[in-house]
Amino acid sequence: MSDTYPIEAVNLCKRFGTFTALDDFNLQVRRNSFTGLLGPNGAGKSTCLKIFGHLHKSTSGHAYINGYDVEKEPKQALTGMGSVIETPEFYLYMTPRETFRFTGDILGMKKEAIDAETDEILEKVKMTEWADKRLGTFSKGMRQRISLGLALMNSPEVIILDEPTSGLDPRGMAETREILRNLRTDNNGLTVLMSSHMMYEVSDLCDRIAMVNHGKLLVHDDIYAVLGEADHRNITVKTKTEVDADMLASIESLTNVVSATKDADSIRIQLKGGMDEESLLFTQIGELGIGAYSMSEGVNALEDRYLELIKESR
Amino acid sequence: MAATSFSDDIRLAGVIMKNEFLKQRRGKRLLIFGIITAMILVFITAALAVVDNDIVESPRAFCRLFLGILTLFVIIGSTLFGATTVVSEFEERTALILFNRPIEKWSIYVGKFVAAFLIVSAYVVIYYVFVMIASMILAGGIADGMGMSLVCSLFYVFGTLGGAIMFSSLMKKSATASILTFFALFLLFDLVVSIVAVIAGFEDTWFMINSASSSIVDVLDPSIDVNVLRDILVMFVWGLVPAIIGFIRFRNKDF
Repeated sequence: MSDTYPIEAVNLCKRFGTFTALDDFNLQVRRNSFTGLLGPNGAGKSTCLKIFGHLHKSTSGHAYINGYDVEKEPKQALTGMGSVIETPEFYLYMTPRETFRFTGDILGMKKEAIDAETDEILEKVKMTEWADKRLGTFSKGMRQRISLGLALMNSPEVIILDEPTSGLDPRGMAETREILRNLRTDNNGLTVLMSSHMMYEVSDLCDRIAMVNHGKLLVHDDIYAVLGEADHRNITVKTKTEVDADMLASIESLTNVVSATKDADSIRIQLKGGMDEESLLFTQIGELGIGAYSMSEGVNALEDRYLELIKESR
Repeated sequence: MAATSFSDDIRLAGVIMKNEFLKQRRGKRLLIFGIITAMILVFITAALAVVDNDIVESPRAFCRLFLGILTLFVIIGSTLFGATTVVSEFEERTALILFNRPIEKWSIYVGKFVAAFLIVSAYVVIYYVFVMIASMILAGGIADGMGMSLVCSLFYVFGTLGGAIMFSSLMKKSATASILTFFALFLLFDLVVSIVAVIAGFEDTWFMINSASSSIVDVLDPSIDVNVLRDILVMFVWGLVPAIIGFIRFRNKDF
């Protein structure tokens, strides 16, 4: 238990018959971090989050939230935590406002505080105009926004999200990501642990990454440190002008650049190094005068590192 | 930080109970059960009022007739309000917004049980009130022992709900839990009573809930020797033991 790590798994094991979903799993999630939990299907991500969310009992080991053992002291542990596990359903006979009231009552909040927080959160998740409509009529995206809102009730210090954009249409995904991005910007001392299959989402939202496979933690570090361990990073540069061989050659001659290839309407650059090297590349690309208007770290870098680690752990 | 005391757990059971009331109020079950109740009462009363018979001349016979079918009425109520109360949280995935909240599982379980008990009990009370009023009007009085009969009926509600909530905790589907509850209470227990009686040579299967429930009617007749306290205790145990079994399953059930 530590003040530094509001989410902590200690030797956590979960077996379903002969299948081991979590195998002596250890994880310490740093305070104020937004950590992405990555892993293939069946790696143990959801099982881990469900144990933290008091929806599964562990076979052995401990899961702590803010220093409280989730299984031994669930009320204390869950009081400071909000969560969205899988795609939850609601009591469809209720309105969002009633659902917030119900949750607030469980959290022991006073009526005035519930009312004030409900309005504030519904505004934050852009559901104010739907506050008094029955949830039974809502789309999946709208329900997910309400789920996220509920997770924010009573200003939790910890939020656990299990594939929060799973099953949503592009608009729903974008809206959910925007809410999460705002959470990260607002921060307020929040610690978030989020599982996802989408590399773009993780690299967009998370500052730390924990990769898991076969119920074991493979790596857990800052996203740049994880990527730094890879042989290279993939950078995509978009230019206004037609990409030609001379342009590619001049890019390849830049410091730390391993290769530069034409990829549809952009240039894909393999770069050695971390943030500093990427920053230098940004300056040098500008100086080349090739009409570059966009430079982004490709999702592929994370994906490559992910696949590399998963392959190694087989 | 929420209070961790026992009183807070009770408060939370109350929150769950309130939610159950809201669910039933906005759902169709209250209406369906209300219609069933009204149909039973109106049909029998109308038949008695129209057809010339001896029953309307005796308040005791009048009340016994109505209370004779009360057990079936309670079984339907327990099935409707008890058999789905736990399993629906898993089946409808609402557990995902409830179980991950700072609330003890027993608060959820007790809140649901008490809500179902109060709803079915309310209907039973309405049933008795109607019978007494009808008896006053048609038979010219009320049978002695109606109060004690009501007490027995409420214990029978408790007994049947224990089985209902147990099946609700054990099963994965509401439909299975409902079917099992209804048939266990309506047929299976009677079958067990008969088999036990034949095989073990018991002349009196007082320990079975259906045998104990006969006191609901028998207390109206002073010529029948009824051990009310024993019957009440039997019905209480039939409610408590399955409810505890159900809770143990519920507490350890993974989502």
